[in-house]
Amino acid sequence: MAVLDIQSLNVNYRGRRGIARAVRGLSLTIGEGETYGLVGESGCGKSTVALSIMRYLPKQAEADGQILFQGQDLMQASDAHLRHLRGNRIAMVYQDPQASLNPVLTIEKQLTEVLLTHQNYSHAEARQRALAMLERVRMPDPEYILRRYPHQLSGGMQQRVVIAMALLLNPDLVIMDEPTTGLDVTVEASVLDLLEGLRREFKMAILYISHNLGVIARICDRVGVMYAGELVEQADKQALFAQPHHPYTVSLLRCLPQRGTRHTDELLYSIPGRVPPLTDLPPGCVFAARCPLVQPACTAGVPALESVGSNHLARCFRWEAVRQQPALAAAVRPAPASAPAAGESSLLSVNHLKVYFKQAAGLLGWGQGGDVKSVDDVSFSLAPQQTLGIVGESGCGKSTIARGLAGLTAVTGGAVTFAGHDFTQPIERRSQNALRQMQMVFQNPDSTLNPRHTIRKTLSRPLRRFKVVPPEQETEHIIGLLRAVNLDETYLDRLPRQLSGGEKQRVAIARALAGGPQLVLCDEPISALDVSVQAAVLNLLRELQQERKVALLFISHDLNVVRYLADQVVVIYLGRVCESGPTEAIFNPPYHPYTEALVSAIPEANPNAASHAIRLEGTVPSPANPPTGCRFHTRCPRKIGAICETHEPPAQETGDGHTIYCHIPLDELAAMQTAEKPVQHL
Amino acid sequence: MLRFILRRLGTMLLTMLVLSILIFVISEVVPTDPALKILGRESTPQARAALSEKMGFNRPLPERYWNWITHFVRGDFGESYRLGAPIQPLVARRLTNSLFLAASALLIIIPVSLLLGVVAGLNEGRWPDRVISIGSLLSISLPDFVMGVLLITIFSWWLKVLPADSSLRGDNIDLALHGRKLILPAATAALVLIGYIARVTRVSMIEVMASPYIRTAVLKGLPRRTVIVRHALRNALIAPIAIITTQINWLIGGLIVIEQLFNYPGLGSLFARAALENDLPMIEASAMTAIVLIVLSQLIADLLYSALNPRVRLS
Amino acid sequence: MEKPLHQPANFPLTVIRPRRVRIRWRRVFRSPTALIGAAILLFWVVMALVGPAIVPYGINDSEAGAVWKPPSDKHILGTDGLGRDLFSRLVIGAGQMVTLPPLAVGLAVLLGTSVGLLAGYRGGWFDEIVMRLMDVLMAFPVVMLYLIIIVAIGASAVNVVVAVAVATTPAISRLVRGLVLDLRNREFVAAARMRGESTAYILFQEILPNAAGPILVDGLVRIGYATFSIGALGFLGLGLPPPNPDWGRMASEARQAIILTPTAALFPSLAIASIVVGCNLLADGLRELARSEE
Repeated sequence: MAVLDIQSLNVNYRGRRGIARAVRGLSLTIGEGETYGLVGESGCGKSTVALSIMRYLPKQAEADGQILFQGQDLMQASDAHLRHLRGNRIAMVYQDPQASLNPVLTIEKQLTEVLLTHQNYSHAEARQRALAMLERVRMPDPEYILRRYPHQLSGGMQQRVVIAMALLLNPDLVIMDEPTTGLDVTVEASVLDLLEGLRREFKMAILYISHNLGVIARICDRVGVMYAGELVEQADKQALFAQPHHPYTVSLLRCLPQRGTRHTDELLYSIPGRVPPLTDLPPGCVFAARCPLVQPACTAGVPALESVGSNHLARCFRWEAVRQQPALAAAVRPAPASAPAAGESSLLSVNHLKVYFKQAAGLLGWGQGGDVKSVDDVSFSLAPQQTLGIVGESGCGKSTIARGLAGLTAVTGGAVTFAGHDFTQPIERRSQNALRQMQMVFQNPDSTLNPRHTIRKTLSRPLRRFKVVPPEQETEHIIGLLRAVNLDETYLDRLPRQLSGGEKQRVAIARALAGGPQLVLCDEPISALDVSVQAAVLNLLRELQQERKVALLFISHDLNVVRYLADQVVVIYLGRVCESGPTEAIFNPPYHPYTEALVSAIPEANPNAASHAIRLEGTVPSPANPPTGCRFHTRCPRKIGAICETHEPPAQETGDGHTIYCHIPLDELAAMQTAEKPVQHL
Repeated sequence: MLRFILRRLGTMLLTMLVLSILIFVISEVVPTDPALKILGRESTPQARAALSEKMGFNRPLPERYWNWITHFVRGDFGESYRLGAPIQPLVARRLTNSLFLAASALLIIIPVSLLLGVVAGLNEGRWPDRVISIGSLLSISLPDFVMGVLLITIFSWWLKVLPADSSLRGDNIDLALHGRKLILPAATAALVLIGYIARVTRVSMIEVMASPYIRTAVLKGLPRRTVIVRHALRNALIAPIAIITTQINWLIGGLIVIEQLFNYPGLGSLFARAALENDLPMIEASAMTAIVLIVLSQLIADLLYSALNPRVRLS
Repeated sequence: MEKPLHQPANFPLTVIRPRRVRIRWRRVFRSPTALIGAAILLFWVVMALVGPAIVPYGINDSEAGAVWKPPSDKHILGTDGLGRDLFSRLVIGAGQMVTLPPLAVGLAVLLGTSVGLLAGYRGGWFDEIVMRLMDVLMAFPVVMLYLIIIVAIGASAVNVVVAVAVATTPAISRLVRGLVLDLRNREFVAAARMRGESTAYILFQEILPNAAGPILVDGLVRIGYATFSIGALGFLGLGLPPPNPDWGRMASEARQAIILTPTAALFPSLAIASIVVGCNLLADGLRELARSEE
């Protein structure tokens, strides 16, 4: 018998704009010990499915259908029965571990209460079980952890606590709702390692929900793809990734920059249009409006989920055409002519840049002074029309570099020369012409545009400030800008709240380009967007860079994206450069050990991807008090000895501008890293 | 923690210093001739000069401030011009009475407002919430004296069960003797504040009940009682409990009006009387006493807040 | 007297941080709460405007022997201790109650917004000192501050407005500063700075329009409390000097006869309360509307 058997689940939300049909006719089963991955973009209904199973939908939701857990229908279960099952036979792991743990209770209380509620344990026994479970999730020093409050633990540790909490009573089903989203890539990798081990050990059924195809490819046995509230495809992992049968699945996989693909080879595939509103669904297939294979029949009738192979279902009239994929293949556009080779005079040159933040001291002089060395001695240069990628984990100082260059944050030291101007000056001292040359695209689409300004006002302001065109040509010019970012004049008088995230980001790009800059700083411009939208924005940036001859400084935590887009890459750890050089050199051995860890941590949307696992332990030290010697030595898996703790690593050159800051000689590094390593599970 | 307390103490002293200067400046510097203020326009220049000499109004300002504040710190509050008597014993007696009244009000406020807020928050959108919300809105909208007039009308004029006048013979409160006289003023002070605290509690409770950690608690299979008592209340009450202590400030302001309305001999009515009579030394002394009280209560509030909240306590 | 609705005092509290409120006036008709509030306020404004034309008696016409009379056909709300018609005095008294509080709060919003904008945007020592001072001022019981100020400068319409404005400013500047601190780190402000916009442009074009909603709603609540305060001042005998019919003073004079004729104290009290209720209802309604639009 299946552990979980969902039959034609429907969930509607009653709202101001009518009834949102969030989940429609969803059926799926999960067998014993099976990990079922549910994948889809934000708003597709994945989390609603999870909460329906837990019977924790908000008041305005109405659900019908059957959710059989070991044969019993949860939809009919009494409150008492639900209480018996929750946390005991069915457990859940959540997206945001910090918010999911009660801030005023110790970890011990939060763990042991699960045992005390469902079993007749004594407090001492419960504590022992909790300790043992913390050890099983590989928590260092469990005794110490038990006495802590959630805010005293790092994100990765918090998530281990939540996982431990879920597994305490060896449940039959665990629902994991984006458990690694929001964690840094190296932390995500070690949590995924842990989950892989645990699922073998505990033999429970897992419903694993994620938007990340790479994570799904790593951890699941079977995969269901959701789009706009429907399951559109379901198959075994291998079959799904090797031979997807629904155009949406195909498109999603295409959107991702594949390892090794470069912007000079091809543009990314992007899905046109946007998800239809769930309150007002189109007739026929929900994906029809965005589908490259659409035919009149697609909008006339609703496709059923039909069998397209062994254990392979797809909800598409044209799955046979998808199998051959002529139309989809044609959709891949060749990339525009590649950028001129590097080596011209540099446009931006950054030498020994330092950005420190004063730590708040008390009003009466109490409290420690001391600076947070967010960026500490960083140098790089960028040639005209080139793209420089800066990568590193959160808190490494990469955004601070951009803000320092932009003048938004005061620079503490070093020299920045940009197009002949001294850019260590604060923004107020820079000339209008200098300002025009460097513009920025920001991370958060919801805060990048002034909610009170129309798109026309947003775009006209830089035109006026930088005196781009005479006032009478302004509207015409703005329409030109909108067209350049694939929008049109119907947007002129809209307010930002009437735009989707991707559209807002396009307007932000148009705003950055309005003055005709030579350099655009892009600070995680796509990280808040869905995968399909990410691809479109990346393509746009790429095309505009060609057309308008701008250089890009592209900051991202996503190595695949940087690898796809950048010509040069700088890897930052704790405010210092670990490695810098041409993209291909960075992504091939010899690596800096930190780069190596980052690269090996990326979950690839390919179930057969070789994983040579280098994992980082511990947490990033405080930039207020960085480690001596090599800053990475506290977490470095290849540390060679005391020298790493005492001496700053030398700059080692491999030629063509590739520099690695490490004590290990380059040939040794290369030898270690090219030798095929077996997958080590920690 | 020690550093936290020291910082708080520093802020406290600074607050008192600034406010004492403010009181001094408004009372003695803004009205260019304090003697004229006290004696009125009909007074003779000789009388004003004599008073200025006696009260030291003709001295340089810093010296006058220094004299006043150092005497205040030592417990010497000066002499009331109107009463011709030392102020300190009077203030002490009235302060005791006011503290009695304030304590009775707080004894009603704390349990009632928290309970109402929690009940409303747990029943968001349903009838208990609506009733409590409308009640809170009325409570925060009625000025103290309006609330007092209403209570007097109901309980003294209509039902004739409680006295409308709370004056005490001999100015000294004796609970056995005056208990009934305390009821209406305390109820007035309480009713005016309950609404605000109940509102804060309600919002806090609603936010907490919608939080991911409450979801975690429910999905652990905990009984609803445990979810509310152990997981929700501890978090939801942090905000209102902190608010209650800051409301002491407001309570003290309210007492000025309430004591005046009920003829209750407290610090507030002493201050109101002094203000009406331009009795500057009395105004300064009673205002400063109130400020010391408020600043102390805020210190307690801060400590309580950090004790309740591990995020503050352990950072 | 004023209740510190938005007053976190010296507390490291974020719980009652103001929500971002955005008002679209046509929508007001969709909220019964806001409508009732607006109707109450409109009633008093109309009363104040047409009052002088409709009152049956002059404010100082006293009828011998008709002292502390309950409502009757002749005096629909009864009479006061000097035999004056309560209804007429109440209606004429509405004039100052619908003008002084908005004036005082308007002044406070002007002052508080300027201080809050500058402190929040500039930051640094200016912010530290100014906000510390505002905190200190907010530790002062407001009614006490009024009384001390009025004692110092004397009771007159202008002085009452000044006293209320001075006492209201700290809370408003705190609110505005909080909003600015949030808004100034938005990316659209960074974009404006990168265009070399002046501080004035950033404050008034980028930041203020996004803070206007919450400031307006807060101002509305504070108009209610200013009414409250002016009533309390009158009640304590420090409001506008007689013979102006001051609702607070009317309530306080009727206090001595409350056991005899509670109506004389009740009607002016309820009149004050109704304005405060009206302001609060309208503000609550607007907040609800803004929230439901999110």
